[in-house]
Amino acid sequence: MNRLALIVLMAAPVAAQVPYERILRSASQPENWLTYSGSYQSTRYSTLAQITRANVNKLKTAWIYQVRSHDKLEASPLVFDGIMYISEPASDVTALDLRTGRPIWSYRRSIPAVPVCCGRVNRGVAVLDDQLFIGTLDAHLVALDLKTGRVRWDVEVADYKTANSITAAPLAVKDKVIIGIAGAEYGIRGFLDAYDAKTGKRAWRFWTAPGPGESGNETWSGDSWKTGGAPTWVTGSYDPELNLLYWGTGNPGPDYAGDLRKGDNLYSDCLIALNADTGKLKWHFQFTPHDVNDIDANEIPVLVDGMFRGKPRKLVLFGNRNGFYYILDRVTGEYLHARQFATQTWAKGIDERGRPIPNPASAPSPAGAKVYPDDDGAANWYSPSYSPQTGLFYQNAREKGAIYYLTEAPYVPGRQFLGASRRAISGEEPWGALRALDALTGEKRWEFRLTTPPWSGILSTAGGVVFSGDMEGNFFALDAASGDLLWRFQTGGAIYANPISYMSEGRQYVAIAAGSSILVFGLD
Amino acid sequence: MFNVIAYGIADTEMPGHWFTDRELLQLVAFVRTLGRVAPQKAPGDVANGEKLCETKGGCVKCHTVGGRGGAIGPDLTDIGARRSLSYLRESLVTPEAAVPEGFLEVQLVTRNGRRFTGVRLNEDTFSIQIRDLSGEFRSFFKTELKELNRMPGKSPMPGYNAVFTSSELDDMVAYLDSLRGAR
Repeated sequence: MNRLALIVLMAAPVAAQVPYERILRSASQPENWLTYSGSYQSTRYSTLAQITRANVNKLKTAWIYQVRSHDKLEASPLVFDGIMYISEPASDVTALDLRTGRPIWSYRRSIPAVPVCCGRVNRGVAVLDDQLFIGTLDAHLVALDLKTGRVRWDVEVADYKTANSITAAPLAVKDKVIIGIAGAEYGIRGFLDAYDAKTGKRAWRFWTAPGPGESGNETWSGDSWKTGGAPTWVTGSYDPELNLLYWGTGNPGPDYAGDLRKGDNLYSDCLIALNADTGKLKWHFQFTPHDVNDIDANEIPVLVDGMFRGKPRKLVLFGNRNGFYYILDRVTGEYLHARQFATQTWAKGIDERGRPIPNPASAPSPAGAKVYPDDDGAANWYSPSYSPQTGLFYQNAREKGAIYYLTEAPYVPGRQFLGASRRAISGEEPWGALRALDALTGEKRWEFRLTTPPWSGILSTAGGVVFSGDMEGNFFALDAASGDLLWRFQTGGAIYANPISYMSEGRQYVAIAAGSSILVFGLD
Repeated sequence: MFNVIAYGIADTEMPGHWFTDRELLQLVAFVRTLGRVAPQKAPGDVANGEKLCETKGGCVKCHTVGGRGGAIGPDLTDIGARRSLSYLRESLVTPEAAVPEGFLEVQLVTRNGRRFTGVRLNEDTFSIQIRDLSGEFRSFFKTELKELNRMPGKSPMPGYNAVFTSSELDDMVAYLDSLRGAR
C-alpha cells in the first residue's frame, strides 16, 4: 500500500460492507472481530501476536468509553474498518471511533417494562453486508444502517408481555440473521429463529419445546410443552462445510418443579444442530434430561477439528453449566467424552452414552435440597476459549452451591414460573477459578484461583496469553501455558463480559467491558 | 410492599427477590407485624451501662457511639433500634454467635514474618485490605503474604460473661437498647 493510500484510509475510516464471505474468512483477518465469538468456530482465540507473554506487562489503557446506562454491561464488541460497534443496556447500539473511543452514532431504543430474570442486558450485535443487527429486550430484531445507525427494519420476534426477551447477540450466516430468545423463568415456549437479512422476513423457526406432531413432543407430559422454556439466549456457532448451526438451549419451565413436566423435556438443556438454510434438526444431544436445577446449556459450542483417540474428528467442545466438560462429534452428535470440571452434586456420574445419573437428593424439596452448582451454574453464558497453540480449553468455573425449597408453580403469563425458592449456604464463601483443561480429555492442567465466582469470558491469543476478569474489577493476563499471572489492571467495575482483540493502525489491542465502561488496552 | 419485595426499588440497593406470590404475601404479612410487637423493657440501668461501656467494658475502643470511638466493630449509635434485647445480650456474652456481615476476622502473615489480625474491609483476587486490631488500615497484595487465614464465625470481641456481673450485663443491655440515635 502506498503512503498516500494509507493516509486516505486513516483519515476516512468509512464503514465498509461485510459480506458473509468476509465473516467466513475471519481467521485470515485477525485485525478485525467480525462476529460475537470472533469466528464461526467460537474459539475466542486471536492469532494476533504483538502482545506476548514477554511484553504484556507493559499494557496501558488506550481509551475508555462510558455507556449511559448503569445496568450490567455484558457487551462483546465487534471491530472492523476503523470502528468498534457495541451494544449498550438495554438495547442501544453505539459506533465508536477506534482511534479515540469517541462515539460516531448511537441507536437509542425506548424499552417498556419487560419481565426479565437477570438484568436489562444485551451481549452484542451482528454485522452482515451494510447492516448491523440487534435483538432487543422487548423481543424485536432490528437492522441498522452500518454508516448511520438508522433503522432499516424492525420486526417483532415474540411478545414481550409474556416475558419473551432477547439478550443474545445475533449470528449472521449467509443471507440470514439467527436470533435466540430468553424467558424460561417465565414459562415462555422456546425457539430459534432465522430472518432474511435484507427484508426482516422470518425464514424459519425451530421450536425447542415442540408441539403435537413435532419430534420430541412426546417427552413432555400433557400440555407442559406450552410453557416449557428451553430458551436460546446465548449465541451459537456455525460449521460452513456441514452447513450446521450449533446452539445451546436452556432449562425447561418451570425451572424446579419437575413433576409439572414429566419426561426428558426435549429440547431443553441440549446442544442442537440445525441446517442453517431450513432450520431442520440434524441431531441433538441432551446434557441434562428433565433438569430440576436450572442448569441451562446456554453456553458456547466451540468447534475444533482434532485427533480424538487416534481418529481425526470434527469435534464440538462444551463447558456446561452443569459442571461437566463435554466432547461430541459435531457431524453426528455422537457423545465421545465428559469430565467434571467444577463441584457438582446433581449427578452421580455420566453413563457411557453421555446420560447423567441423577442424584435424587439434589432435587428441590419442601425441606430444602443443597445443590452444587447453584442456579448460576458452574459455567454460564460467558465465553470459554480454545487455543490451538496450547491445545487447552480455558473455562471460568464458579464454585457455589445453594439450598432449594420446592414451592407451587402456577403459570401466570408474564410472571415468574419457577417452583422453588432459594437460600445461600450459610457460612460458605463461594469462589471461582479460571481452569485450563486439556481440550481432548477435560483433564485440568492448571487453575488460577479467583476470590469470587466469575462472570467474565476468556480470550486466548497467539502471543501465548489468556485474558479474563473478575467480579472485583480486575482485568488480567495469564501465561496460556502455565497460568502464571503476567499483568493485571483494576478497572473499577465488575466484569460481566468477554474480551476481544483487534488491530488498529498496525497495533494490537485488547478490549473488555467493565462496570459501565468499555476499556481498550495496547502497548505504548 | 408486595411489589417492592418482588421487584426491588430502582436505582437503590434494594434488589428484587425470588419468591412465589404466596411467599410474598406471607412475607408482607410478617413485615406488617413487625411494627406491632410491644416494645420490651430492658431491666437494667442505662446510665450505669453507659459508664461501664466507657470504663470496664472498653466498648468505644472498637465501636463507635454517636460519632466517637473505634471502627473495628459495628457502629452502635442506633443499635437499640436495630436489634432485640436478647440479641444484644447474646452479642455481649457470646459475640461469635452471630458475627455481623462485613466484619470477617482475618489473620495474615507477611513474607517477612509480620503478623496481623483484623477485620476484612475488602478483598479481591490480588489484594486484601484490613483494619487491624489497633484500628489501623492496612493493605496487602497477596504476593506479599505468606499466610492468609479467613476466620468465619470468629470475632476479635471477647465474651463479657466473665467481665460483667449479672446486673452489670443488664445495665449494658439497657444502655445498648437506649442507643437509637440517627448516625
